[in-house]
Amino acid sequence: MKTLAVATNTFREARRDRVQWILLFYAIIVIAGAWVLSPLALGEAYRVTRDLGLAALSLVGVVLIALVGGGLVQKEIDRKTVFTILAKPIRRSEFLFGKFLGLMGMVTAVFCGMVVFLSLVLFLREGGVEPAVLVAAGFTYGELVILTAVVVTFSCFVSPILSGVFTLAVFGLGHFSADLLRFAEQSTAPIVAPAARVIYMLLPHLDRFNLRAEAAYGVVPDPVATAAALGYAVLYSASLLAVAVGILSRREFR
Amino acid sequence: MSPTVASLVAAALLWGGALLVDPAAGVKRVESEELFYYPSGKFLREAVLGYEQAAAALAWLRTVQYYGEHVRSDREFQMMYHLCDIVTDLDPRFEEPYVFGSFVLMTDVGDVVRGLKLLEKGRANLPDSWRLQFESGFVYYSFLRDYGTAGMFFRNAVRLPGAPPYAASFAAYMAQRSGSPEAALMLWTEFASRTDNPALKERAEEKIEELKKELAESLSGDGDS
Repeated sequence: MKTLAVATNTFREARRDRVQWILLFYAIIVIAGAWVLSPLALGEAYRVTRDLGLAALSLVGVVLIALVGGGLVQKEIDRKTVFTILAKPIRRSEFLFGKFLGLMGMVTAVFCGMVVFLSLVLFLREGGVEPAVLVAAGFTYGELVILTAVVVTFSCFVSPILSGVFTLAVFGLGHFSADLLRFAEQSTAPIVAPAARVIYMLLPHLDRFNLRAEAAYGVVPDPVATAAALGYAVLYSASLLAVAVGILSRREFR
Repeated sequence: MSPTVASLVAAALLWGGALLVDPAAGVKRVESEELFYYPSGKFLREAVLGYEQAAAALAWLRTVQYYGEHVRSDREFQMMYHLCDIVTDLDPRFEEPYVFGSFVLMTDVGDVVRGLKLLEKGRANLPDSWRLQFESGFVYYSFLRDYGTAGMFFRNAVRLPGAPPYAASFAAYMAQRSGSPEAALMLWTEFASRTDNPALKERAEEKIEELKKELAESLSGDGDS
């Protein structure tokens, strides 16, 4: 109940920041892709709309999380509002989980709006939406869940700007994680390969959530791969939140 | 400064800035030089962080824009191979750049080697594509007049999944009438009807008109004799 109250408040705060305007930004990208660029695509208009729409879905989501989530906890500390909240009978873990849920709620609302809009545009152009496009969008959501946990964790111990920057860095590295391992295995230095393996395990494997290429060719992943990706997103986010609770529990507020 | 004055000053500055880089005012970018600095598709593929499809879509739009700019001016398409190579490195399963690129390279640049190279890359990346086999047959038939190789590609196309019924009848017709103007006319008519690409359609229709004239002339020549 207390967690829910914090979550609701976080969601309202995001709405006060007029985050919903991001939907308009997304709409402009998709409409531009669909109607303005179509004559330039030489018969590939649907493809351009779908690929740019799916990419924008992910990029807008990542930027939204980095910008809004960056100051999630630190802002409360800077404004001293954290004293008022934690003076009440609420555990720090409940506070943090509420923050995560509130941000996740906002991300979910904006994400659903974007998916509905993209589906509508594709439907109007082609008379239907391929299931693979919706599956790819679902996997993108899994990536956003992990990145929300990342930003919440960073916001417990660094400034809002740094939280955002670090989250974007994790996003980039998360897509490079498999390459990092490949490069390290080719190295002859004895320490590089084990160190790279540790970094590989720590970094989120965001490339597993990239099904945009499959969506382009109507390929839907098998249920085992889907369940594995879903399980990974839940476990990775939960482990990050556990770390964040540990950091927040040890912090002294002055 | 009042908001109205500030807005007017901002608008004037913006307008002035836009005029400085307006191509109509004689400030032109050196297009081909700019395109020389386009990195290779293989590098881009690593750098775009999983957004290969979107990057390929944007590179495709740039390719079409490049074609449009030059088809209206100097009809020089030296960077066409490079651009199509980038698009297909980013998305190796994107069929259209193989067909469009090879067509432009063959007809407008006269670069048969790179046109064939692009089609070969397409066949390697999309071994199940009946269309790339069929277009390869088309290229060998129409541009190289190598009817034997063309026939092989037509037969390959027929064997692949998704090949339309006309492909089989077409392969048989080509085997019987290879080299005849009627066969060439049929091939170009078919090409024009199956492409969604308006630029390719336009070029094919020009070729159809040309072939019809040739055919009419040869018929009237036969009649006279």
